[in-house]
Amino acid sequence: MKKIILFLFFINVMHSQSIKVSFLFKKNDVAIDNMSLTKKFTLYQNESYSLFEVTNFKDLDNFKYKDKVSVMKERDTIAFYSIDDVALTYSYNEQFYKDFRSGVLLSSELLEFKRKVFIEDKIDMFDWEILNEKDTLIANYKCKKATTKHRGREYEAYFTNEIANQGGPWKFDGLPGFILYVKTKDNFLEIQATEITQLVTIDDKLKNPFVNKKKIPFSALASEIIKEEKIRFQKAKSSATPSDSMIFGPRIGTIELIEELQKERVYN
Amino acid sequence: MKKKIFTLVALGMLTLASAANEKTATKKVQKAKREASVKKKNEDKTVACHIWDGNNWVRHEYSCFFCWGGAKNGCIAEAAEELGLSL
Repeated sequence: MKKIILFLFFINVMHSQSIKVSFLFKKNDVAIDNMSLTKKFTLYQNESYSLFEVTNFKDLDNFKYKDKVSVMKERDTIAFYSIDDVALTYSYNEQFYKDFRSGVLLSSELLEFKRKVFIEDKIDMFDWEILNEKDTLIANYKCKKATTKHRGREYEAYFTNEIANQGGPWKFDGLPGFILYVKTKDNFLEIQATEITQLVTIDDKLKNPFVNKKKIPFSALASEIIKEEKIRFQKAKSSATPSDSMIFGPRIGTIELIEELQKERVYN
Repeated sequence: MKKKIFTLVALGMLTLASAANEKTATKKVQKAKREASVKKKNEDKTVACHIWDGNNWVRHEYSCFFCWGGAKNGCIAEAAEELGLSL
């Protein structure tokens, strides 16, 4: 009996420890392969909070073909690029913050290369199905496989209960363990853990970066995007070389697909 | 007889020369017409192109004034201007 209590105490202590996990975040572009990239992210997590943040967003080596990329403008927290003369893109200091106590997930989106909006989601928004398959070994941890559909994409994930009872990269969460690997079935996105460190404390790293920011629910994002597109068109309309119309095609390049934006938006 | 042959040869030469002149004149008129139509097109030319911004394709229209670097460069320049990214 003593041994069992000691074992449970050990498990509890292990899970209440803080962890730092490095991830590779690979996104294959649906339209232009030259825009495909792999970023490095770090996740800090304790029993109450987690912060998932990009660590090298300005690194040109992130791009699959960096010789096709030109830097257009660079600031502390954002960099703009043109690619192969047919594409414009940006990279910024992405952060995803989870408060496990209140069940809230905070993140940000950059609209039309300009305005940052802050999004509030529920951590427990994934409807997972845990598969009864043989365990898979990832970084020496025994992992179980689970699948889910989330905002227009299908995912498969591998999680372990040997690191923590919750948590995972990006917005992923809600499994009885820590998620070490996720990919979409169409290979659009792949996130994999590369290094796991157990730490005594990382409280200083887990301060909420979204304090005092006005947040909107994800459901309000579509109308904010449309608002920003209209502003962009008005600017183009009143420029020295005015545009009569502007057409935005289906918004298919984002991780989360919004149904309302899967059709063309014509402004004139 | 000699006079008749001379007259015929002279007439033939005159006819050929006249036809050649007419051809040159027609070519000049055609060239002028073509130049006029190009000029007219340039006056009100608007170029449309597509830029991928990582999220969606955006169709842009811009004046041919920006075509100096090629249509693609003009498109990027116009999009960058709209987004406030031009240097």
